[in-house]
Amino acid sequence: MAEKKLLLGYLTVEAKDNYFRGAALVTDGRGIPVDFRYTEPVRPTRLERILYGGALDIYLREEVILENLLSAIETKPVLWLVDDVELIRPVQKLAKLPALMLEPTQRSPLETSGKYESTAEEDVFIFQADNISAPMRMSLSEENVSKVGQIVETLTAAAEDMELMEPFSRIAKAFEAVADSES
Amino acid sequence: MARILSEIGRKLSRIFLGRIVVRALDDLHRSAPARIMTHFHSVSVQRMRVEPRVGAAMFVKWSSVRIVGAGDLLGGQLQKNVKVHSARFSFVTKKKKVSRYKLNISARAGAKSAMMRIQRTPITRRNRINFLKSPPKFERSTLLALYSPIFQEKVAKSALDKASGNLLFWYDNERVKAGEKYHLLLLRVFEGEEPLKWLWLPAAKRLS
Repeated sequence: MAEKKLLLGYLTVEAKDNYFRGAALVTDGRGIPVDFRYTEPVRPTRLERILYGGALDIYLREEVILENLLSAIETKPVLWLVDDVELIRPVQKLAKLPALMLEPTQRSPLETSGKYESTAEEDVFIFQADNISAPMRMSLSEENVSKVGQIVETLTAAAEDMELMEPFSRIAKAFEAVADSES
Repeated sequence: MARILSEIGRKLSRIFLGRIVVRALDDLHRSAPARIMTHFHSVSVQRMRVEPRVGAAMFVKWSSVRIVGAGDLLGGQLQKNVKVHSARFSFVTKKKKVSRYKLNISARAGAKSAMMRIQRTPITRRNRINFLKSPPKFERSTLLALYSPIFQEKVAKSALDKASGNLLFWYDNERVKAGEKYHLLLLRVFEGEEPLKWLWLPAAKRLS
C-alpha cells in the first residue's frame, strides 16, 4: 500500500559492559531497510567518568549517540520507535518527530485492529495493531497524546505488511555481526 | 681652636645679645664642599627557631645543603653557623609535563552506515498460532505454525529456527518491487510421505 511514504524509524541505545552504542534503522512499510546507521562503542575513560559524574549516562545517550545518529540519517521516517522510555523525549526533541515506545502485552486482543484504549498510566495506551496478535502497549510523550489516533492509524497500516517490533531484533543481530567482524 | 672659640662667642652673643653677625662668605667657606650626613640604623634579625629540621621536600634536591649545628637560641649565632653552599632546585614541573586532557567523547561516536550488513540480516516472523481465535481446519493435517505477513515473491531464502520456532527469511529487494503478501502456514501431515508441509495463503484471506 504505502510503501513509498510509510517509513518507520527504529532507534536504540545500548549501555552495557562499560560502553555505549546506538543504532538507527529506517524501514519502509514492509520492514525493508532504507537506511541504517550505527555508532562504534563509546567507552568512557575513568577520568571522563569522574569528570562527568552522574551526567555521563545522559550526556552519552542524548548528546553524543542520539545526536550523531539522527544527524546522520538521510531518510527521515514519519515517526521514531524506541526501546527505552527514557529515549522518547530526547529523540522527539532532536528529530522533531513523534517518538514512542511499543511493548508486547499478554492481554487478550481488542475487538478490531486499529482500536486503542487509554490506560491508568499517564501517556500510555493499549492498541491492537493487527488481528492475529496481542495488543501492544504504547508510551508517548505528553505532547503527542493528542495525536494518538493518527499515530495508531500509521502503526496499524504498517502492521498489515510487517511486524512492528521485529526490526529491533535485526538491529541486535547487526550489532552482533559488527562485534564479530571487529573481534 | 680659634675658630671654635669664635663660633662659641658668636652663638653666645646671639643668645644673650640678640645680635646676628652677618658676614660675607670668605674664600674658605665658599670653597668648602657641602657635607651631607646621614644616619644608618642597622637592623639585626635574629631567628627564634631552635633547629631547622627538614625531612624531605619534593621539589628541592638537598644533597648539597649542609646545616651545621643550631644552638644559641637568642645569640644570633645561628645565622653564622648555617652555611649554605649551594642548593640546586629542580622543580617537578620541569621533569613532568602537565598534560592537557581533551574532552571530546562525541568524536568517538561517529555514525557509520551499514546498509549491506542490515540487508544481510534475516527478517524474523514469530509463530502467531496462539493468537488465532478459530484456527483453520485442514484434512489429514493440523496447523503447527502461522507466520505473517510475508511478501512471498520477494523471499530469497528462508530458514526455520527450531529452537525458538521463529521463521527467518531474507527479502531479495531487487526481485520484485511490490507484491502480494501472504500467510505462511506450517502443517503437520498425517499419513503422508512428508510429515511437514508448508502452505502459502493470501493475506487477503483473513485468519482470526
